[in-house]
Amino acid sequence: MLAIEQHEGVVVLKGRWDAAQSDHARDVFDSVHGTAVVDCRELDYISSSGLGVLLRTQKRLGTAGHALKLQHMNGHIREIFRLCGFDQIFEIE
Amino acid sequence: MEERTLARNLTELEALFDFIQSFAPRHRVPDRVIASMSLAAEELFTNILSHNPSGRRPIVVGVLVEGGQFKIVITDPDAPDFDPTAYRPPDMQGTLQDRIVGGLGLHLVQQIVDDLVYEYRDRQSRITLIKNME
Repeated sequence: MLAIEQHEGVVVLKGRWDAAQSDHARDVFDSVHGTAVVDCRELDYISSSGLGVLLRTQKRLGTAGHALKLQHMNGHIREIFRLCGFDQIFEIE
Repeated sequence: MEERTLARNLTELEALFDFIQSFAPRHRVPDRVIASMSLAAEELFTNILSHNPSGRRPIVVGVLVEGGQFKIVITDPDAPDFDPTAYRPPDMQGTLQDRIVGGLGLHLVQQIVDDLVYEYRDRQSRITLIKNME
């Protein structure tokens, strides 16, 4: 299960973001309209469905000069991002 | 091989993960292999649901350890012929503007597993994910 908290320019992801979670996640990220930090400290897992939501959001924000900034990803998720070339299009801290 | 039948619904992902994660420790599958193969299995399962929406029969997932390899076998009993080993993903190195949303799942499968075997006969699609445990 994926839990999402949102406050003051920060989106906190907790748990497992699999394809069954993406409708809810998409609604949350569609509500992001400026640069936002995505805290992945407690994100255990992400699949291509979640990556697609993040990419779609990043493309939308990018047209307005904004971006998502991803923080505290674990090593497994970092590797997934690298395999998809997302380390080139997201700021990852 | 242990098998589990899954309904053609994303809500079954929970059962898929539980199945893999209950089997794997009993057979000393390393955590990193469990994590990678769980992702690959999800990607194939969701791909089947997306690309065979008219399928009515449940999907069968089998897991086994054989010859130092962890294997997951996903069978769709009534499927079109689609070979995931022949899939060519979009460019993963393009700029943000160039990137298309989609095509990541099978790319990840191909990158994650050590071998991917596709068999198709009498409308049954059988895909085996293989990852070395060493």
